[in-house]
Amino acid sequence: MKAVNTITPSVDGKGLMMGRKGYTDDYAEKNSLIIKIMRSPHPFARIKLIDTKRARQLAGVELVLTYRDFPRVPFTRAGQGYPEPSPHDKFVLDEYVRYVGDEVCAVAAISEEICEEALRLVEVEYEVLEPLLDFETALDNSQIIHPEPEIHEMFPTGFAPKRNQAAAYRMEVGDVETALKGCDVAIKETFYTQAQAHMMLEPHTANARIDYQNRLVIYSSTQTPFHIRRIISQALGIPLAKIRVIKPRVGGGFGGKQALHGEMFVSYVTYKTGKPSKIVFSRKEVFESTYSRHPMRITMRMGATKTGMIKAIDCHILSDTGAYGEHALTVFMVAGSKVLPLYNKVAAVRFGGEVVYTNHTPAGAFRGYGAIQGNFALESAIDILAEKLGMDPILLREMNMMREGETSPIFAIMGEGTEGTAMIMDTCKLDYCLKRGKELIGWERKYPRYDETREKVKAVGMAIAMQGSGIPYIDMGAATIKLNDDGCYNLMVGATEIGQGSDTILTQIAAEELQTTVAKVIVYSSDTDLTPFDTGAYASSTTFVSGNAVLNTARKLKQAMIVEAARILGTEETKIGFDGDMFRDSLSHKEISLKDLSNQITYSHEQKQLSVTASYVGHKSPPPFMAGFVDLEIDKETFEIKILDYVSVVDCGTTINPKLAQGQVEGAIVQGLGMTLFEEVKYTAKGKLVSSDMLNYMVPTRVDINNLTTEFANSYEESGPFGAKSVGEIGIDTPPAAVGNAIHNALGIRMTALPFTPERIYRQMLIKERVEK
Amino acid sequence: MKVNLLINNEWRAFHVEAGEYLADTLRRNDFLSVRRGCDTTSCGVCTVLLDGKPVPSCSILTVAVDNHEVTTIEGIQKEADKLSDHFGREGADQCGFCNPALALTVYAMKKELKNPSDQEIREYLVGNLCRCTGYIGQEKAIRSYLEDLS
Amino acid sequence: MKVLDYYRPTSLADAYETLMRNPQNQIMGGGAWLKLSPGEITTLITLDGLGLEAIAEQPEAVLIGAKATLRAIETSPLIAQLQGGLLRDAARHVMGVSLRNIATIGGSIVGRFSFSDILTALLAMNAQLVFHARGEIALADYLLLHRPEKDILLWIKIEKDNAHSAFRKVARTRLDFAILNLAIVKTRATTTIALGSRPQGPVLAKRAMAYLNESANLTEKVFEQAARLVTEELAFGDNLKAGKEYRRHLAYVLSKRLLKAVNSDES
Repeated sequence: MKAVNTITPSVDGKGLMMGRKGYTDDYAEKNSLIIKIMRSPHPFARIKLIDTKRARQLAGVELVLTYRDFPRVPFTRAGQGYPEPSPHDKFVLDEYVRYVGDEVCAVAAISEEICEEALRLVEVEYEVLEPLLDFETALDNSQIIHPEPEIHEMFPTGFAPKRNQAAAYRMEVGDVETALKGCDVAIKETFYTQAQAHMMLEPHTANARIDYQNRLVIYSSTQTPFHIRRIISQALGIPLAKIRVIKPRVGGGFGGKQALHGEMFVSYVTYKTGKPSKIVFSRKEVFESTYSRHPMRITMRMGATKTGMIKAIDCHILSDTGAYGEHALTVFMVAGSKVLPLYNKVAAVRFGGEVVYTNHTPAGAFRGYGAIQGNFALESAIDILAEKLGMDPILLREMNMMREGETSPIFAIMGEGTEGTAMIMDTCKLDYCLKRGKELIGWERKYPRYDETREKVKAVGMAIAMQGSGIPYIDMGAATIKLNDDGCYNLMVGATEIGQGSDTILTQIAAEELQTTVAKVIVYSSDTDLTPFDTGAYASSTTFVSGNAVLNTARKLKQAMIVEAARILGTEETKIGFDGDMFRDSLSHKEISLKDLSNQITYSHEQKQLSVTASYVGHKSPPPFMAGFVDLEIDKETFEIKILDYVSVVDCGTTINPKLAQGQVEGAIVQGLGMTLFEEVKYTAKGKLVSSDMLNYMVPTRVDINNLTTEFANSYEESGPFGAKSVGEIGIDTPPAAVGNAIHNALGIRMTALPFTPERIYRQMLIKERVEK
Repeated sequence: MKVNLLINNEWRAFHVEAGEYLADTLRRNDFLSVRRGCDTTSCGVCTVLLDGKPVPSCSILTVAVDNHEVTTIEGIQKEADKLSDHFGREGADQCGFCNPALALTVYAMKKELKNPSDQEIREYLVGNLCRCTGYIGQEKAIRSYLEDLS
Repeated sequence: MKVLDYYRPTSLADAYETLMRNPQNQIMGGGAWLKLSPGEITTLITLDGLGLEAIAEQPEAVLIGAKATLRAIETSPLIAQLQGGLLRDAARHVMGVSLRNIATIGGSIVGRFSFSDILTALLAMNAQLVFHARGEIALADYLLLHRPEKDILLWIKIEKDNAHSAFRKVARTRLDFAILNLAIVKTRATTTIALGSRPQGPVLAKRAMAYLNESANLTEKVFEQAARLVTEELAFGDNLKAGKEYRRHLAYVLSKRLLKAVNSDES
């Protein structure tokens, strides 16, 4: 392989470091109307009265929008394929506000100052309602968060708003209760995971203008430009043909930009006034009024024979979707479907639970999406079981985990909101990942703890994980490649580059198939007018789904070029050999260069544009696997934790771009460590977000990360482009359980609630001391 | 109020309100590489060099730096070009939103610290948050940039 | 904070006169937190160009200008020598280099932020403040004033005691404000202990100090008792970053450890 699996700098890194224009706000028209949103100070209230007269009269104010300006069309902002598995439970603006930060009204004016002045002039009278802030009491609570009659689900998802239930699901393979009764050893533990903020550095941003064809052109910092086009059309009643969505460079997404946030407002304002408009979320708005990760309560029961064969797993989850049900069902199902198949030799497995509404900032898509929550519970439970069995936790995993060529019945039963897809693990190098990870971390020498002094102790811990590669039969990607004169190519993809490097790796895939160099493939991504459709950058789908689309396209274009070469050389297509530069007739040995061929068909003879579009939709979702090992030091008195090293050994098939793949794993590991150690979305008792800025919401800094060691297993997935599986999310799954297991190995306490702050460890140690006395 | 700034070796005059911050003045005047990330001086995205030192432009009043020298990434293009080669080799650039600010800080560090240790590099750059890379790739790239005498 | 006008005075007298002219007029510190403070300033007065950036040596003390940045303090050889380098150690833990390039010591003091690492260190160092109108006042006394009168802080004076010192900050991440900070200065004669970000502002642990200063032999048992006194005499509270009990526990552990450190330095 020449272009793929080689170290290739990203196609855009240099220009971006040199400061070239590229991000959404860089493209806002200079005379844009500024849009600001008034946000609810109450977690739950009805707008009794809203008087915008004085604000509308203020010089420089163009529009003041309230719920009365919008048709009563419920939709979901989730940014998923259609029909969505998320309930249609949101209005652009509504008479009810359901969390602190929910939209009350919007102002468009010629400057930010005038917007703010106008917002001060809007008079709002609220009927303050009792908020529902504890997700464990939400189900069947007398306070109902979504009483409105118009909201609905698109297909059966367990949506029962009268019960405050956004979604529900259950499934069982075998008979879990009987299997558990037959076990020699059984454990039960309940785990809690917290909300986490994405904190991408570019805030949510969108702008709009009407172009000279009288069409609405939206620039948006989004992961899903094609879904935005559809959802705006549906919710605002603008014909889809009138809308163009351009995604320029995106400054990080991590799932937080899968959904729509400012797009509705810029679209409405510009469509209505004909004037350009823009919205840039403040950091507080990003924290308070976009999304965070679904907090969950996960109860795990597990049973095994005394020799360590795991016979039954029972997982029940209660998930908090906050005020709206975006990704409610799917995140929760992934906590089972991309977690439980890891131990596929069980006689019985059960998964079920509910997703409930509360008056918190809505939860939504976030890298790891259910898997990190489920993995924390499962992989902590495995260590608990190993301890009870008196077994080495790695041996217990090795005895019970998924192996190459095997399957799990769960794949066929559970998908994302729908039925799943049966599949065999054609690649699964978990056994290698475990073995190699053990070596790299020095497990034999360090497990369970080492270098203990009076003040400090070091320890190791580990966990394994799996993910998916797109959603089979749902996620679709498409690409167009055209041949230019001079023999270079344009690659147009719907796939959404959001900083993860998809433009680069898709270019590499095209270059590999066309046997050329990355420099000769010019990539352009995500413009609904110019590029073919793609569902978007989510669900670890880009490398596998969009990559396969690019590969299909390149293959077809190659064939089309061969047809032309055969015509020019006067031979049969099957006799043409192509090495990326030259077409050769194997009979006559006549040849023509790609450059001459492309120039000829462009300018001089039988002129035509060679351009091919092809698509791909997955029929399976080959999981990447990994083993994560942490080496850490704990202060035995203050309980501060220092991460010394985090070893990741990953089976993601072929790494299309080894360094970018490493960057995906390491970035995800650090986000996972952030969730494990520091990051916590916190509210006051009255439901106001307090972690609403970067002084209070802390993510890992470079001083907090001492070392990361990342390796890839030698693996080739036949169904993936050049053997690749996904790598975008897998890295985030293991840190919570691996660190929790290491803390147990260091101090003998079991942390069941994230994050593992020194204070929480201290409290747990107090309990332990009390028990020991 | 009228303010004169030596931006990237060119004197420019701006009319600003007393309360306007440098990041906004620069962005308003098409220095689009200067960005806002957090509003609380926490993230480092808005970093520019003031008289050669990295500062958060989101928290400096433009009037307060009248007659001072401001450097944005446009003022150190050759260094940014070179640093980006090292980032490219390490696969250390992801979303890139913070990279001009990081490059400016790295450039200032190179001038200020002689033979910094890994720990000193981390401490100097700690105010430049990155949510994408996990830092280690960046640090390898920065280390090789510092050692690159070409 | 909304700023309506900005003024660059020609002298300290001019600055003071402008400050007193309107209750809404204010002196600008480093400006790092200006944006985050509520309210409106009629005229923001800069002290640039009045020589207050200096860090100067006197026979018995070091004088630090109110406009000296935290970065200048952190990198000053004079400060590195001063009372065991305590102020340097505190300064280098304040957020990132770019913030320290604008944040000033005067801003840290007049802002009286309860989480300030700088204030805790200065308190342990028995810093004296020199104001334009008021003249000299000990930082410890200044912090007790409920609402100090408007004035211009000019200099911070710290004695060049031959001391051992230790500073410790516990925070969630390297860029976070302290859950608790603690500074101890040990001269031949006395030990001074200051704790801040409890989350209330910095205070001296006077009973613990008195106990230590009366103890003939400084053994581990004495340190433990002093640490216990620290947790008994000082108030601790809850905020987003941590709760009261954990803070009290940290105060005990860190007092004990830092006392040990400053005393073992001596040997």
